[in-house]
Amino acid sequence: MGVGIAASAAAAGFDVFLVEPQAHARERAAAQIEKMLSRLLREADKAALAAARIHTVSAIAEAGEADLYIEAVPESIELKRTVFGQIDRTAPAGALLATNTSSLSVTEIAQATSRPESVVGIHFFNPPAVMKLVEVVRAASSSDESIRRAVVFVERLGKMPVVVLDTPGFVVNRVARPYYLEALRAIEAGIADAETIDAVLEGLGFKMGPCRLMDLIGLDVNLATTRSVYEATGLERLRPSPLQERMVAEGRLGRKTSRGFYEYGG
Amino acid sequence: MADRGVVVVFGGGTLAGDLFDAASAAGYRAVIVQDLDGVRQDGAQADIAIEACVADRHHKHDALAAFGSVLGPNAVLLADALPDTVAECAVWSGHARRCVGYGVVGHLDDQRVVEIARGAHTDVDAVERSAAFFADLGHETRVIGDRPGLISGRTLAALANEAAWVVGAGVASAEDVDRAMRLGTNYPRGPLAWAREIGVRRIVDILENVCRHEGAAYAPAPLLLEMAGLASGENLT
Repeated sequence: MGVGIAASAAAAGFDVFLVEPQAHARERAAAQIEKMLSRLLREADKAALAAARIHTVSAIAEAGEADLYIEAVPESIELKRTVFGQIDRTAPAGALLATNTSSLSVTEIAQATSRPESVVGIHFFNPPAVMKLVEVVRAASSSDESIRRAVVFVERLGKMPVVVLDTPGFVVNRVARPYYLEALRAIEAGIADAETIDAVLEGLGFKMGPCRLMDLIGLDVNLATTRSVYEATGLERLRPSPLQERMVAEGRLGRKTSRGFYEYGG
Repeated sequence: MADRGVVVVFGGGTLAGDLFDAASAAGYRAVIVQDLDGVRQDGAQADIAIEACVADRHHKHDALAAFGSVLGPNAVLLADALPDTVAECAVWSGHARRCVGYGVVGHLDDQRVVEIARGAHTDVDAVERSAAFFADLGHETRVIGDRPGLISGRTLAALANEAAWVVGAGVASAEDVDRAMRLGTNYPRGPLAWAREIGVRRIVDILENVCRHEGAAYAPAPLLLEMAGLASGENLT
């Protein structure tokens, strides 16, 4: 995720410091960036220029002073709060601080800094170099100016910002839950199989039926999102599906394990 | 053009018109009726009788009962199975073996694959004839079991409802929620714009069907009731 965000920003002309503490991950990032930029920019010399704007470093302190800090570490509130504490000690006054969290409270993350008014969510979608939508998340503490600057940044990336309040799942991950859950519940009820459900919904114009889509996303990843939204809202209609929990426990995670709702040739 | 038989459609809305047009174009002798006298008069000669999207439940009950009282033993009665279950429609018709549910949420043309829902007592032959009928109209069909809202209706209604709750909570505007869902998930339309196109009243009817059978978890959001022109809870005395 971090690599894709770095590539998008470099392609739009920003100077980027990519912070990655692990040496082998830094090496892998360089190759990934090259591939993404050649796809994003087509022309080889432009891609090379953009790649040269990305400086990969091993710690936030090495990054020097930036206008915008974007955190994209794994979804753990403790980890994110630690990273924001580090950013808070390094970033100059007036910098905008952003988290790419998809499921945690931006307001809670902001409290790990001495300047919660400067903290917002900038939620990219996977793959970030391709997906146009970005949710700009307004925490309870975010200032109007911080939101405005985040919107301008997203627009400069050539993407579409949508400003949302800091609530579980924000807009997309919350509103999309029923698409998956209703399919799972229909299978649990025994009224239809995965292929039938996908055929009906693809016949309505959805690009991918919910079961095919869960196989692509990974049932474990999909379940984790449902769980976090359900636990934060307590809404009965968003309760995780026992069928999906069983499939995850059995390692039927979708394409990445060659088996989910469908079988995939090795 | 080959005579494929007589289709009698009951309903005054767009779905009734869509079915009438498609059946006529496919070579059926199609009749559209809009009151119970019409059902009793024309229903007896129907090979395929269709109840199409009758919003008022009492009216729908009466129409199905009227069809049931005049239909021949081999006729098929297709009932709109999104706002009511097939089991309910079958009981109302008094013709359970010949009663088959179908699911078309909005316009017939917007739904390439039509769901055909069996009731507990539906004859296999009636299900097969229903599938053949929709195939003649150019649609694929899938046979599924009886469940409130089936698959198409329930999915679109649940998405619109979730979007309405999120807008009602002030998380983002309706336009932004629709835009976010199109761009973030590749949905062909935003859930709220889609609900408006289908008719918000129909979306609410589907949610209320689910609520009647499965409890209040699927209760329509106040914003949806408002959009449908129905009073929200707080306005009721």
